[in-house]
Amino acid sequence: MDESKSILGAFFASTAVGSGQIDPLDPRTWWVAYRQSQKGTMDIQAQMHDHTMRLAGVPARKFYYDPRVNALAGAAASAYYHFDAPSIAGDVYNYEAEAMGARMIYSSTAMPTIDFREPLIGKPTDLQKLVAPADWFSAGRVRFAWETSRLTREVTGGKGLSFCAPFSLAVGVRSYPLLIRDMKRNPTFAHELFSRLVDDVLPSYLKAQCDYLGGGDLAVGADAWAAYPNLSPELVEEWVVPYAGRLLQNCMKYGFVALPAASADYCEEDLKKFDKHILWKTFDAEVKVMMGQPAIFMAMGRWHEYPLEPVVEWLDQWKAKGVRVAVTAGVNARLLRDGPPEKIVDNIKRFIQAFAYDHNLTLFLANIPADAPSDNIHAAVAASHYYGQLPLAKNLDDIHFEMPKRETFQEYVAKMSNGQGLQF
Amino acid sequence: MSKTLEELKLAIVEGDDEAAPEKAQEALAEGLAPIAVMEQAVVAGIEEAGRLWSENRYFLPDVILSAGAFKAAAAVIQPKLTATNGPVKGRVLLGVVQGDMHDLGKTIVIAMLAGGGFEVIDLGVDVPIQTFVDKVRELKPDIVGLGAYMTTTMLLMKDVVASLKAQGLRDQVKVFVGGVPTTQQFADEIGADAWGKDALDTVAKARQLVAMEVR
Repeated sequence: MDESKSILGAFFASTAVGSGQIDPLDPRTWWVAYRQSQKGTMDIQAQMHDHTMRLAGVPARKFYYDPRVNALAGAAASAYYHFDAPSIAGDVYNYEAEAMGARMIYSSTAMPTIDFREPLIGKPTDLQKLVAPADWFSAGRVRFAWETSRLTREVTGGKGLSFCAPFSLAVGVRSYPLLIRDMKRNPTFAHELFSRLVDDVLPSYLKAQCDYLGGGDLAVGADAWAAYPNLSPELVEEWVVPYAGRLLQNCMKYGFVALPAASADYCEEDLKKFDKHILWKTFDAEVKVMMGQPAIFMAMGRWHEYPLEPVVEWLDQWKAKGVRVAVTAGVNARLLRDGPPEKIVDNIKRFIQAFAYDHNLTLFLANIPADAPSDNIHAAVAASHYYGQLPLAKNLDDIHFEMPKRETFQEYVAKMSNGQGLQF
Repeated sequence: MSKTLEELKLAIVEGDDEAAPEKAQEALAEGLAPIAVMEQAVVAGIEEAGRLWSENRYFLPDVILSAGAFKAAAAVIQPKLTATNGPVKGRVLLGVVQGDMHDLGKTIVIAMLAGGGFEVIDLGVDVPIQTFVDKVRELKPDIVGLGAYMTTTMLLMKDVVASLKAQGLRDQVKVFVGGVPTTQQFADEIGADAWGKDALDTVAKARQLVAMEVR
């Protein structure tokens, strides 16, 4: 395979943008129009729901409940920042658990979150609660999640589906400490829990979602709970890989592929503990989670501080076989908040220099913090467009980079809506 | 060290929360001094887990299991400890701010701080701003620690610091912050005294803060 896309890239690869006509009061069309005008640069995408909420000034109790508000605000923010995929999402780790009855905390200032003090599966006999609701759409906030996707698809096309990956969902219903204890002390019970998720709950959720949205090709399952060091590479191989494979098999009959994303993502916090051998094991585990596809996530770690040479060294084994690996390289959330913009630009340039010539690189802004300055995000996007111009320059140092000077989000919205603004 | 203490320490290191309290009971039944059981086995065990973590030989699952075993054993021993067993290094009040439920880091920090000789009072998760203020006033801790996992909820830490100041308590307590989205820069911006990068760093910073207070 020499043209593998990153899983995120593939998620949006089928995006068929609409007519390109701008409706001043529909930010989804702003993004579509921008996307059609932008050719020949490397993809840059983002996860930014909390940031969008704050940027658009929408209360949490509206943003995480009203699909129209979420979709329009997300599209407006994606268009403002010139992202290559509309970043429209919510608390993707929670929907299935909430729909099955998990207790939640609903805050005025933040996204809903699972209340781990009283997990859905508090004791082994609670396993009976792990059943697919008869009507997913009406359960919890599933309607919000799917309607947001439908509204986005209306103008962007695309056939992506989304879900919470088995390990992260197991944490959601059981809590991390209890699940870890189960895995070590009561593995029979833990395996039963995982089996119910991948044989019943998740295939049912994805099938219903696929039907509601009118089809699907690739379902991406968020799996940050399985990132390193939440799980060691060995535990990923033991507990994530087999169930990812089983879920894939269970979904193939419905006509779409379902895979976790970000399992084993290397997120060591202490730079003194950076270990290339452990890093390589996490990459090996990631490839196994992807069922052998050469694709790695470097989404959430401190990649502006880790050395990139060990990554290149690992990638060289594939390069020697003529394989271009799908590399998703993420700019760290804390760097996006703290800046400075010059450091962010340098980070993007390093990624392109190290990975884009020999592999398929997707740039990713990992969970942009709520209060990250917009200048920092503009700097990241501009860097991807300057240094990621295709075909790539022979020497990135020859490129003259200028830090963008952009209007505020409010000024942008006023400009695009003929001064009418947007009422969220 | 007695065989029982060795087994207790091993239970903590291996994260066995069933064997740990049993061995702690056994050690006390053998007539060993509670302070010796605590220091030589329970604290030594959690410190060993921390060392293995710092050497990349333990991962988060191992540490969380060790913290659970530590908590189970400490619950057996702490009621037997008396004031004559020496002063604690300081009193720390810990909580995860309102709207946030993620307390994994807090669990480990509590174990490490307790192992480091601090008295730790856990306010839990989803703690309202005013509760932090009221508890600081009531319990007079040396340090109040604020945790958050989300970039939306971490912004409430600033409000906690402001409320402590507004209610005349800021000068009486040191504030440290921690959690995945936080940074030293963020801690500086909101006027906190320290940022805990991880559990071991938090213990070191807590020691520094208390030492500053004493000076």
